[in-house]
Amino acid sequence: MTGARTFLKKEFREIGKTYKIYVIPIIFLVLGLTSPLIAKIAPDLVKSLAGSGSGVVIQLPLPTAVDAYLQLFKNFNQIGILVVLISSIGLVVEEKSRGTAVLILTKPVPRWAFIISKYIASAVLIVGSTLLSYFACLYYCGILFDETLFKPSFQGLILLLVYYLLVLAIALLASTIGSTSVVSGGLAIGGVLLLSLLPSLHQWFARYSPGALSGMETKLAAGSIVFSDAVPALIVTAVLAVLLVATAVVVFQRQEL
Amino acid sequence: MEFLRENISLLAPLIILQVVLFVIGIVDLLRRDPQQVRWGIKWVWVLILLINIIGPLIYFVFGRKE
Repeated sequence: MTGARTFLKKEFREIGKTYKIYVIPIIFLVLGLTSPLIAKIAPDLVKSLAGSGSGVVIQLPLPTAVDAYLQLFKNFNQIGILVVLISSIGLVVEEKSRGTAVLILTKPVPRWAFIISKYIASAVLIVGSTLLSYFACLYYCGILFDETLFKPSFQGLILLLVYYLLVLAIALLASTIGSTSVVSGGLAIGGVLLLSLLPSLHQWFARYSPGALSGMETKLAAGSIVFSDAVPALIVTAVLAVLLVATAVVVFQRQEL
Repeated sequence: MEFLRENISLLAPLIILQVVLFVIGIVDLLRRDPQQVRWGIKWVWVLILLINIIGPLIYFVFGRKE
């Protein structure tokens, strides 16, 4: 176990020394601050685009904090997922191609610890950055809309975080399987695309598959569903994430480096 | 737009963060030799750094060579 802890420390140190510690939290923070601002000015934007001289009177409902969270979860599900994928795709495959994985594994430390510590360290960074972003959004919502909708939006955030953990597990497995970064990248993007397509294929997937979570986040924030509606999909997502990380460990253990 | 002009204090943190993100990337890029950058052409990566939000991430992950 002490060996495993050394690995985990090494991973955290690596994140702290590289671009990751600055770039990823800042990107997420930008998403968190942009969303409420966009939601606030969206009606004005529409009006000015429609043109003031046309004589058409457009009545748009006043934006609320719900719109801000809609925007936030949309950003999290597009740019956020892209950030998770791009930043974690090299996790294992880069160390294999540079030959550093071989060096590290000559030490008397189990191979599973290598994979698991990479997953944990990345997960802490992603979850931390997302929480930071969420609270920034919450703060701006308080200022701009005089309401924060803390409970429903935080429930939505829980769904998102579990989904991110699955995306990270996909990236980790793809990074372990792939022989080059390009192969790993292709595998990971393919996996995430498949997840997001499943809900539109069958009613069952629309309720229980991980891809269903992205739709439920906004519905939760808007109050049109309750948290217990999302629990089955949440459990499926968490179990799948654990299975994929376990698969990555098994694959890595059998790999010749 | 009126709104943004009146609420510059809300917009400022956002602008500062975007600038910081760009500066982190450009400082790393300028310190490198062209051979240490993918394709060996630095100005291409300046353009990529300017891509909104994820430009610097793309540079750090794909742009640098050991």
